[in-house]
Amino acid sequence: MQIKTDRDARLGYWLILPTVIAVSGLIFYPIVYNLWLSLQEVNMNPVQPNTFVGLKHFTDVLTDTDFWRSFKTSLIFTSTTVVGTTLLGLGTALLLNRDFPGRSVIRGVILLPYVTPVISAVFGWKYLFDPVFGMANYFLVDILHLLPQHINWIESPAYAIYAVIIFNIWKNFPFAFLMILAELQSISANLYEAAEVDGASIWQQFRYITLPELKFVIGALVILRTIWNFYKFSEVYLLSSSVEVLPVYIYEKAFASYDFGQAAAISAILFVFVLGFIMFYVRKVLEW
Amino acid sequence: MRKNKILTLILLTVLMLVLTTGVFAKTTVEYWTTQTEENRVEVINSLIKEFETSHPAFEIELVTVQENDIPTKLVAGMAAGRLPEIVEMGSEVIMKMGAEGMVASDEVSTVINKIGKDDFFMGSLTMLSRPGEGYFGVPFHGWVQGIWYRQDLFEEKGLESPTTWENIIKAAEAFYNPDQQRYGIVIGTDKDAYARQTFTQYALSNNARIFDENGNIVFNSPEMVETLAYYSRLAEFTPPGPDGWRDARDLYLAGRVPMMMYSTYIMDDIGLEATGYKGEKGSIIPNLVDKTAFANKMHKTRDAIFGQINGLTFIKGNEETQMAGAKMFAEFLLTGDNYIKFLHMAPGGMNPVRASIASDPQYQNNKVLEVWGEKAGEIAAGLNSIGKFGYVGGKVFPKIGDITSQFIVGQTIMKMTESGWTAEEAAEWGQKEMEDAVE
Amino acid sequence: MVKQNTILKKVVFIILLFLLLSFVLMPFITMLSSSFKPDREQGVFPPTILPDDPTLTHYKGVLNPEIFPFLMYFKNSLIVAFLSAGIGVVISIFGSYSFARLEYTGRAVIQRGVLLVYMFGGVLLVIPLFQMITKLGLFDTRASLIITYIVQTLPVSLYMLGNYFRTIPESIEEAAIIDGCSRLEVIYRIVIPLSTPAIVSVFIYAFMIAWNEYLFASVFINSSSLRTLPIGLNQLFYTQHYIWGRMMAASILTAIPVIILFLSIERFITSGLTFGGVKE
Repeated sequence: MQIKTDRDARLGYWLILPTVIAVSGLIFYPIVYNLWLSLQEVNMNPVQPNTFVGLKHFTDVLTDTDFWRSFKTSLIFTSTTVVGTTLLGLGTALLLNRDFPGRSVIRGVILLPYVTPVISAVFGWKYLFDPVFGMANYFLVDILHLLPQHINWIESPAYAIYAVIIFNIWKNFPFAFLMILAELQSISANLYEAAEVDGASIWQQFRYITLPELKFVIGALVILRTIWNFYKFSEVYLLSSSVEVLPVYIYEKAFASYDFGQAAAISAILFVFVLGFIMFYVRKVLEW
Repeated sequence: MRKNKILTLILLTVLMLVLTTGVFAKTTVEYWTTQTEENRVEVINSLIKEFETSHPAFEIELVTVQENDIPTKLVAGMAAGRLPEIVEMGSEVIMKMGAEGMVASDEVSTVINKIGKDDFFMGSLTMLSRPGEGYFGVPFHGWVQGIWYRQDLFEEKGLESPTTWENIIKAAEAFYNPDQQRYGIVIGTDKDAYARQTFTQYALSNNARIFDENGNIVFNSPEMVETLAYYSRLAEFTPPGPDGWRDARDLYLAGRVPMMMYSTYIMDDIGLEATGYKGEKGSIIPNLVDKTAFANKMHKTRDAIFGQINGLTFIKGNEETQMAGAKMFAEFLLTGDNYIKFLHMAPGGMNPVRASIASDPQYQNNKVLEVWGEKAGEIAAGLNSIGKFGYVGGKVFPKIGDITSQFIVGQTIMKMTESGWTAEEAAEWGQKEMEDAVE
Repeated sequence: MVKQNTILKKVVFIILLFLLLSFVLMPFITMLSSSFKPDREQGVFPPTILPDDPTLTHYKGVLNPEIFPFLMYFKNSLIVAFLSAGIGVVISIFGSYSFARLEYTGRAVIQRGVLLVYMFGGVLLVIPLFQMITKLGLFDTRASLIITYIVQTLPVSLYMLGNYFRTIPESIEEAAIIDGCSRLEVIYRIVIPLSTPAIVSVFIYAFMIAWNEYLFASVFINSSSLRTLPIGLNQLFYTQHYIWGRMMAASILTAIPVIILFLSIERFITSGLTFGGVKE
C-alpha cells in the first residue's frame, strides 16, 4: 500500500511519541541518572547539591563483606528458583498433557499461585510456616518425623532462605507450566506414533522427541526467570526480611540507611552482572 | 555543616508551607503519631474533629508512622521537604531530634508550664529533658514492661515469682516441653525493637550499660557479657527461631508459654479475653486475667524497671500560626475528657503522666481497667522509676538513637542464639558496631 | 497385563496430581480456613483444616471501616490501578498501531528500545525515580504511582496489542481508507472494535500489575489515606492489633478481584499468542 506514505510516517511518529517520551523519561533517563548518582554522595535533601566522589562507592561496595554475602544469597536464590520453577513447570506440563475429566478446571487451579497478589499469598505462607501453629511444622515434625523439632521457617536466618525459595517456586512455576504446555500441545502426535512403532521407550520418546522440541521454550524460560529473579524484591522482602538478596540489600541501603549513592552503585553492579549473564547465556548456551 | 543543611531545609519547609497554606483559608498543622492501629486512628480522628470545631482556624492533618519506621520516615520527610509541626513519639527519638536542633524547646516549655509542671510525674519529665537545655518534649503517656506470668501454674509447680534471674530461668526450664509445643518463656531474639526492650531490663538489673558516664560505649563490659551469656541461656527455653512480640502475645494467650515479656499494652488483650470468653472448647485460657500476674521489677545486682514515655514535640522553624495551632492541639490532647478518651484507646497500655488524671474516677471508669482492679494502679506506678540505656546518672545520651535505629542489640543477641557465638564474641562485635554507628 | 498397566498408570497419575494440587492449594486452604476460625481456634494444636466453629467475624471486621481501613485501601488500589491501566491502554493502542501498520525510519530501533525495558527490574529504577519524584513535587501523590505503573506495563501492552493488530486483515483497513477514512478513523472505527478482547486483556494485565505492586508504593507514598492494599496490609501486620483471622480475610478479599479478572482472560493469555509478552 504505497498511498500517502509520508503522511503515514508522520502519523507513525505522532502515535509512538507518548510511548517514547514515557519510556525514555521514566526508564532510560533514570538508568543513566542512577549511574550519575552512584558517583555522588547524595544529599538527603534533593534540592541541595550532591558531592562528586568518583568511584568511591564502587570500591566501598566491592570491598564490603556484607555486599558479597548478599550477592551469594542472590546467586543461591536465583539458581535454585530458576531450576525449581522450570523443572516443576515441565513436570506439571507433562503430567497434564493428556485428556482427563476436569482438565481445564485443574489447569485454572494451577495458575492460582501465579495470579494471586504477592501480599495475599505471603500471609498464607507465613501462617503455614508458623513455628508453633503452622501446618508445615506439624506435618514435617509431628506426623512425618522428618525433622527433630519445630523450626521458625520465616524468621530464622538459617532457614528463611528455604522458605523464600519454596515460596518463589510455588508462585512462579505455573508460568513455566503454561508456556511448556502450549509448546507440548503443538508437537505432532505422529512423531510419537512413529517412535512407538520403532519400539522407543517412554524415556527415549521424551529424550529424542519432546526435549528437542522444548529446547527453545525452556531456554527462553530460564533466561527470563533468571532476569526476573535477580531483580525480585517483594516476593522475598514481604515473606521474610531475613533473606538479604541484592534487591533487598539495595532497598535497605537506600531507604533505611539513606545511603542513596552507595545503593545506586550496587544497582549499577547488579545491572552489569545481569547484562553479562544475558550476553553469556545467549551466546554460549542458546547459541543464538 | 549539618546545621546549615537543617537550616536550609527548615527555610524551604517554611517556604513550601507558606505557599501551600496560602491556597487554603485554614492553617494546616501536620501531626505525626505512632498510633497506627485503626481503632486508635478513629479515636484520634474524632478528637481532631472536636478540636477543629472548637478551633475553626486550624486543620489537623494526621499522619501515622510505624514505630520501626520513624527514623526512615523522618529522613524521608526531610528529603521531601515535608516535616510535621507536631509529633508524638518515644522519648529517645525526641531526645535525638532535640540533640540535632530540630525541636522548638521553648514552645515545649510553654505548654508544660501552661498545663502545670507540678501535675506531671517527675519521672516522665526527666525522660524528656536535658539539664541546662530545658525540655525537648511534653510528656504524653507511657508504658511499663515486665514479665507477665501464669500465677496459677507457678503455684502448681511451687515456683517463686519471676523477679530475679535465678527464678526466671528456673521457671523457664521447668515449663519447657517442646515436644508438646510448650515453651518456657518468650523474650526478644530477633533484629527488632522488642529484643532491645526485653534485653535492656536484664542489662539494667545487672548494672550493665551501653554508655558510661562520659559517653563512651562500654558494651563489652564484664557485666554486659554476663548479661548476654545469661540471656542466651534463657533463650534456649523459648519457642523456635527468632521470636518477636507477636510470638509473645500469640503464645501467651494460647496458653503455650507461662511467661513472656511485654509492655502494659497486653492488658487490653488479656482483659478482653476475660470478659469475652464463653467457655467453649478452644485454646484460649478462661479467666486469664485472674491467673495472670505481672513482675515489672527485675533484680540481679539492682532493681530495674523498663518502660517508655511518649511525648509530644514541636518541630522548629514552622510558621508562627502553625506553631500556635500545634501548641493548642497539644494542650487540647492533654486536658480532661480529651486526654481520658485518648488513654482509653489502649486501657492499661497507655498510662497517664498527669497525677490529677491518674486519680480521676472518670479515667478509672473503664472495663479493662476495672477487670485489672488494683493491679492496674501498681502497674502504672512503675512509670515513675523506669531506666533506659540512653540515660546514665542524670545524663542523657541521644546517640543511643543511632544504635537503636540499626537494631544492634537484637543483632548481637542473634549472633549468639542463631550463629552460636559466645557472649564475649558477641559483645565485642556489638561494641564495634555501636562505635561505628555513633561516629 | 495391559489393563493392569493402565490401572497402575492411572493410580500413579492420580497420586501425582493429588500431591501437586496439595502443594498448590495448601496456602489457600490455610488462608480460607483461618479466615473463618474464631480467635481462640487459631492457636489450637494440631492445626485444624476445617474450622470447628466457623464465623464471619473477621470478614465483618475487615469490611467495617471503624476497625480496619480495608475499604479505603481498596478504593486507593482501585483508583491507581484503573487509571494507570486505562491511560496505559490508550497509549499502547496508538503505539502498537504505529508499530504494526505504519512505516517510518527508526521504527525498528524504537521497537527494540522498548523491548530493552525487559532488562530493567523495578529495583534498578526505584532510587533514581524516588529522587525524580521528590524533585518534581510528586512525592506522596497518586500521580507518582500512576505514571510509574503505566511505564512498567507499556512494553508488554505494546507487544500484545501489536501482535493482535497484525492479525487483522490489512484489506479491511485498505477498503476503509479508499472509502475516505483517515488512519485515525480506521483505528477508531475498525481496529479498536475488532480488537476488543485483546484490549480488554491488556487492560486487565496492566490493572493486575498495578494492583499487586509493592516496591514503588512503599517508597512514593507516605500518607495513610493514599496507601494501596499491599502497603496497607503489610503495615497492619506489624501493628499490635493484627489478628491472624482478619489478616487472612483481608488477603482473600484482596486476591478475589484479580483472580476473577484473570480467569476471565485466561483463554486469551494461554492461547500462546503472548509468549514473552509478560513482564514481572
